Amino acid sequence: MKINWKGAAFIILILLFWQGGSIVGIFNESLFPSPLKVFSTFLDLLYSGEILVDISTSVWRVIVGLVVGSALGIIFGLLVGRIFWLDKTISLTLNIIRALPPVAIIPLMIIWFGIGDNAKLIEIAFAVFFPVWVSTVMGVKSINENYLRIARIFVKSRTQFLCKVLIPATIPFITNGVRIGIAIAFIMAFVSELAGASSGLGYRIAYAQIIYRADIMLVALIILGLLAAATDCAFVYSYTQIFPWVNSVSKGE
Amino acid sequence: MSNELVSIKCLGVKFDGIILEKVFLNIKKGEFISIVGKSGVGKTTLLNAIARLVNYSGEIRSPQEIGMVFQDHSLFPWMNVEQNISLGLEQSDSNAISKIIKSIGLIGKEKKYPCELSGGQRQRVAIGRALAIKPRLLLLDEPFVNLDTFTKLGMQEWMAKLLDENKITTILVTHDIEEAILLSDKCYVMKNKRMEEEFLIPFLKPRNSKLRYSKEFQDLKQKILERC
Repeated sequence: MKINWKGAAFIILILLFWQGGSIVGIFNESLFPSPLKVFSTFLDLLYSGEILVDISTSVWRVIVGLVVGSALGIIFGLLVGRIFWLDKTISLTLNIIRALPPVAIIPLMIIWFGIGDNAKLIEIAFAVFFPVWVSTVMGVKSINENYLRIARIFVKSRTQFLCKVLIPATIPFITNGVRIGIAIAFIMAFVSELAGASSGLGYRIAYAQIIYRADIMLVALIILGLLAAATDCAFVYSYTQIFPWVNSVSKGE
Repeated sequence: MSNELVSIKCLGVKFDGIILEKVFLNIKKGEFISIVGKSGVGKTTLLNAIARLVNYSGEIRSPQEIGMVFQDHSLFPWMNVEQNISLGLEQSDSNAISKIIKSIGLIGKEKKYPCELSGGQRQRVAIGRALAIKPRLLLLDEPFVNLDTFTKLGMQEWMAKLLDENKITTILVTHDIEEAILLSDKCYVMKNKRMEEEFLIPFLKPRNSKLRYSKEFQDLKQKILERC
């Protein structure tokens, strides 16, 4: 994996500007603490173990919600993309539900499932499902006509068609959908933890607001951003290793 | 007992308009025929109809075991050479696949993906994939059209040798009349959505590409060209 030196240099520049601004008094330390203060707060939270519990809780919720939402999105996407009557029957309903902002279902989920993990996992999976579903359906419907011709000549069974043609041909679309899903999963984990939780990065931010600690908020926000970016990078790296041909499919080579 | 492997009677294909009408064609076992003609006369549609890739009227009697090679190599980018070749096999037979890979001259490239191969190599894989299923009928839809001249000449000689060894009944659609003469036993000219004329190719097989410089070859080419 290549290191993006320009991107890293830009971040360092921002941190220097931020620290410099704090030293000369441009930023109010209690509202916008300096990077060194934020780092020191991070170390305190690390030593106390609180931030590790928050990180592991949020990451666990994101992973479970992402896996469940993506799996359902892929299965429904393949079915709706291939089966005409199913597309006609359920796509309208799914599109109406898709139009809802995922955060809008949080109050209802709390009423139905309480403020425990179940509600949060369902909320995340719900939000992840739709981009993965839409991408998969698009992938199935825009499958290269040449691949279908080859399949009709050489592929003998439906199972072979599914495993050897349909799923691989849709992988570039599925991976795009999952990448969007990763960002949404972190947003939903954060929002659902804001709305009632006893641990997690969202909970830490809500708690810090109550005790008026901007430094803790910034620690949690930076960690959340870094986790989301790292998950996205890890996902892209993994699928380009597992499916080295993925760009060739996109280019139709 | 009839020696005919393919029998086409009064074949018609319509999409927006009529693409083929009243096409009659009989091909004997082991015969290699070429179909030439201008663009849009329905050559590719005829192959697609024989392969049951399009709806048609009339009658087509042909074997079920059909291998087809398309204009563009049409390999699956997610499969390596070995996997592409074994696509049509019920059970992967490594010995048979090794033989095919040897015959298409791609030993050592078994694990390469299509994007790592040259145009000629990709088309060889596509031909290998069609041969792997041990087809009784092979359909070639302008298989060398996207190759550069040098690769194309080499591929034509290679193909002639390969098919001569395998004795598979073959239908080749091409724009290249020299290719048709070099490879086939008979050449059909398609015109106005139907078969216009049949030419027997009198040259003994296996044929060498130097044959194309002979007067007889050029005369035959001229005759076919005049009928297109």
